[in-house]
Amino acid sequence: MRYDPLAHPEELIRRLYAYVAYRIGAGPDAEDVTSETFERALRYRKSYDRRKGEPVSWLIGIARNVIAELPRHPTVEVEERLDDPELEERTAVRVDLSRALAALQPRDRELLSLRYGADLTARQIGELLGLKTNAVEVALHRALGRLRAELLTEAAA
Amino acid sequence: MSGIWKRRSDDLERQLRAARPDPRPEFVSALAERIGDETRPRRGSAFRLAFAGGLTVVMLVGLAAVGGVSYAATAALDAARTIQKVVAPTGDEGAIVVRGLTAGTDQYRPGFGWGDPNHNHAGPPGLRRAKVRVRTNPNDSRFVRVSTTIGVDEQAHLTISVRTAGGQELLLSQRRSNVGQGVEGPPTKNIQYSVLIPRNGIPVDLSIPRNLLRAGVTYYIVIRAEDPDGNVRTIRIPYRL
Repeated sequence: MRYDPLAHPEELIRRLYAYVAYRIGAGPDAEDVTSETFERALRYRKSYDRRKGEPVSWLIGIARNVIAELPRHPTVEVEERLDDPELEERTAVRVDLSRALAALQPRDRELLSLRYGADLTARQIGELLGLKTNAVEVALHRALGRLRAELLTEAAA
Repeated sequence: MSGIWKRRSDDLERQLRAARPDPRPEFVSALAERIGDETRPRRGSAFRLAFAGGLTVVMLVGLAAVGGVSYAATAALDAARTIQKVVAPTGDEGAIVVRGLTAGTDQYRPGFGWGDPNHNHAGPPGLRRAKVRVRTNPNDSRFVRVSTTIGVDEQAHLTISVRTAGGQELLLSQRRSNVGQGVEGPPTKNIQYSVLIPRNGIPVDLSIPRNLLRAGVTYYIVIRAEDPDGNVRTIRIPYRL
């Protein structure tokens, strides 16, 4: 029986949305990209090959194409719900992170989105980007350093 | 910029995970439902086929008992086809499916009868769409007009609706809307249109009461295409005011 990569979609939607939101900002545009990614995945799901990676990696591969086709990268948006009890601090953290991420080079942002948005391992990121696991770990470490520097620079300003 | 990063600069990985953006629950459930619709086995069609087949057998046996088996076979087959059409499906939206030539149908052209094998292929219909434009008619600010064009690569019956991210269908004015060569009728939540001549550039102009829409919110034009064999393709086109 053929394996269906979209059999349990909720967790995939959350991980994909988090990746997209770290890449282009949370909000309606991230929802549009997520929806469009799943539409394409539905259309081509018979072409999914389990040996080439997990469903989330396959979906992120599609999402990267969808993002690349966007006419322009939208401004970073921060979405919050009013009933959040720790609204102020969490919003501050998210705003800081979103601004700092937006200031990074696209490659750093891509790596951090894959690692902390989609929750992929260094090995999975390596498979997706065609890099060795060691190279991904080093690049992630450097990207984190640059993000930290960005946050501290803005904090000082 | 808050000073939190000075205090917790060693905490960055934890913060990145904790601040991971979550999608809205209604968005997750609507999208999961949409995926489920496409991936679940279509039990309905199996039942319909079984029902039509069963009825055919009963008729064959009955007619064979009184002779004229070849006549009975033809008649039973016709009856089964008719029954399959009548019982057939209304689709996920519970919409009425129009199968004949109506106002919501392409004008008939010789050689383009519904189900003509020259204009149909195996598998679900291919759908292409252009970018969506949103306009307000300066002469009638009560309605917002959302327009795009689509291409269909085989004959298909279209069910067109506009939905919120949560899946709720919005009312459409058919009188002010236009699909292909035109539709008419009372306000409806899904417009029915049969494409007999597969082509690109089929206009889809939908008029939605302005009071149903909110600026900045994403809505979806949902187009469900069902070919004469019952294969279905659905596309969702996002747009925002």
